[in-house]
Amino acid sequence: MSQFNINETLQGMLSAAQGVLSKEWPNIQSFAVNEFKKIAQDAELLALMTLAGQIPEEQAKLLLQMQINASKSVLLTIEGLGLLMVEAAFNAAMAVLSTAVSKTIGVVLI
Amino acid sequence: MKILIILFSLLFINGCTIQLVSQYDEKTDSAITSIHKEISDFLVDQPLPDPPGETPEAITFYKTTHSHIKELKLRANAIPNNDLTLQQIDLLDQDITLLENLDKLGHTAIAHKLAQDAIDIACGAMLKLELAKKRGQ
Repeated sequence: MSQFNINETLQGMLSAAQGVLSKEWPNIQSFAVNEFKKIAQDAELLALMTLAGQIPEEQAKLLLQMQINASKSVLLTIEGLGLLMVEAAFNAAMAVLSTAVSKTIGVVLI
Repeated sequence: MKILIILFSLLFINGCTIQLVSQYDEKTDSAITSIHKEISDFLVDQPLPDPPGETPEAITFYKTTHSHIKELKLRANAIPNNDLTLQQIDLLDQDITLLENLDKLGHTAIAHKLAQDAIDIACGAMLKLELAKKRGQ
């Protein structure tokens, strides 16, 4: 058994959470940029083709709705990836706390 | 009293892992891949420019694909914390209806490309989320 060091534990918890956030955030960001870029390019093409009369208005409305749906789906994935990131950061911090408490009381918790 | 506090702390810390998003589901993963292939194959086989109206192949395709999406939704609905995937499945189902309406108007090559792109992005986003649920395994 050892003494519980609150500052050391807190620092460990923050580092564990920060480690997860800094590792996961760039992946989410690059996914969002890539997918929204594709959607923006197609939206531009749709607008140009509709203006040029190459896509009838009725078709353009349906295609625009499909692009809106694709954007919503991308946003839902971003929301999910964000939640998974928060979940991992929280669980990493709790694992540090659990280890610190285990060392102090001499019982393995998890 | 001290023992009670320690026991309470043990229980608290032990129960303190959270799960905000459902677990990875292999069947959902393969169903999304298979529905995406079904749609892509249909669009590839579609003659261009596609005259207005529905062919017997198209009628079968829409009926089958809606049914496959319904099966996927039934499974996804049974998995806890799966709300995001369920919303994506609903959007994909709406896309099939939009595609059906587009088909009734007749496709041009450019309309075809834009519809395929939207489906690719939607299915890609669904797969990205499903695979992320593996949580680094």
